[in-house]
Amino acid sequence: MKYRYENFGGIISNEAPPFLAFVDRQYMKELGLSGSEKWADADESIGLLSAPTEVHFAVTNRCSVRCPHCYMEGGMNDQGELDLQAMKRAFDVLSRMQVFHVAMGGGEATERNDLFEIAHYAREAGLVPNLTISGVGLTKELVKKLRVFGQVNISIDGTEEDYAVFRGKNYFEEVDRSIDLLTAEQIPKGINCVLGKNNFKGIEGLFQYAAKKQLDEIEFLRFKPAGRGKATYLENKTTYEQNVMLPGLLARLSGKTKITAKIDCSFVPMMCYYHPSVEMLHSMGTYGCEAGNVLLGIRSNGKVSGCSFLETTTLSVLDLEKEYAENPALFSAYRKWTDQAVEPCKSCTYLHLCKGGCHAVSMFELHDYHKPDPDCPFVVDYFRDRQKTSSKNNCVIPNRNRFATMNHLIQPV
Amino acid sequence: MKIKGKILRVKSGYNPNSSSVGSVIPLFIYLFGVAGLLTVFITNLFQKTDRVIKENKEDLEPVSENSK
Repeated sequence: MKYRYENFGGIISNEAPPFLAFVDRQYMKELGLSGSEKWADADESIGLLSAPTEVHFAVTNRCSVRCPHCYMEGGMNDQGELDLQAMKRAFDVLSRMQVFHVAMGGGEATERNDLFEIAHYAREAGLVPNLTISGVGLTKELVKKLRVFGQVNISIDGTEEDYAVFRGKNYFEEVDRSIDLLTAEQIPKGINCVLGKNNFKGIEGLFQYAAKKQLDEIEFLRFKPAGRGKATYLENKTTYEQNVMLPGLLARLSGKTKITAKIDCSFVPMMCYYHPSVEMLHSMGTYGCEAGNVLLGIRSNGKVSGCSFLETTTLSVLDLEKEYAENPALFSAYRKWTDQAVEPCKSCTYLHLCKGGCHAVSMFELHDYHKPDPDCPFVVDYFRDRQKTSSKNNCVIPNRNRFATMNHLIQPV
Repeated sequence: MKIKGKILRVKSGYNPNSSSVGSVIPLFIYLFGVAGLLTVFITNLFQKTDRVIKENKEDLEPVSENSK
């Protein structure tokens, strides 16, 4: 069990069962931990962390599958991909920053020959490596080595024909065999499902599959306009009705099948639409956009971004420790987004939890990451109501689609 | 009265997904925030976490030598 200090007290990380517990200063003292210079801060609330708790590290951009919706444009190696020695230095940096978890991905991480050396080094450095893979090309020998990871997730967007909705190619049978191999080795595992308009109908089938295969969880990821996904985003994204329906449907199916259902940070506005208690969501560690705070994204060439869907900066992970400590402006556009929030987010009960929805979506659809997520149901309702009011006052905004209308209406304060 | 330390938040499980942070959907969400059920869920989660931490507190170590 590991800990690090924070202004509010500290974070305790456990592996079996895995959790991160955020505790107050008194709790830390009761564990015999004497205190930290961070406790000199008069503010004891949980806000800006001293370092990310997790980092999303694309260890390679190489990928033979080359899915058409890949947010990383996986296929060819990134120019300047970090070699093993540089990877080790990167993990030393993350360790010194006191990051707890590293989610490794790609590209296809298993196409990197030294993946397991990197993962073992991460362990030596005190980090827990986790992994997302396609499940294509997995062998019994390879699966045995996956024990080094805390959990392995396989990307499956649906069963049978739904598998290929985004990918174009159907590897379902092969991936199904890979899941059986993971089960045989008793490796904690789950599914990552990219959800769009066309595979929404397959959600129930995916839960039934997960239950049959005794998987630990399914995480639903909103299809996002990043990488190659930009080209088909508008035609494939989930609809308003699907967005509204999703959290209730997942909760019902999760209860029925006993499979844990997770949503990614970009679906949090949809969960908030059900009006759960803010305090309860905070207590369960529910995160909206935490780019540049709880998490960071790192490409295989070492370039850092607020999250994997946002543009990379010129900052290298090898310089991250110093920059993170000395440059308060780093990622401030995301970290301090709530200070600049405009309506309807500004008045929203969930502002400080959701943080405006997915800013990568705002950037793509509205060309400004400061604007509220245009697919948040609260935002859609707000602008529909505004339009109705405008219509009643004979101020109809002529022939504009919803997003153009929002572009016109959502102005920075 | 002696002040007792508190658990403020528990993030359960890992996040192997290398693109975004996951959050568990609470089972009772579709009941439109029946606070009582969620309170029971959170209380159980915190009690279980507290028990694990207290049972293993001898094994506590800083995540890196940098912890100060």
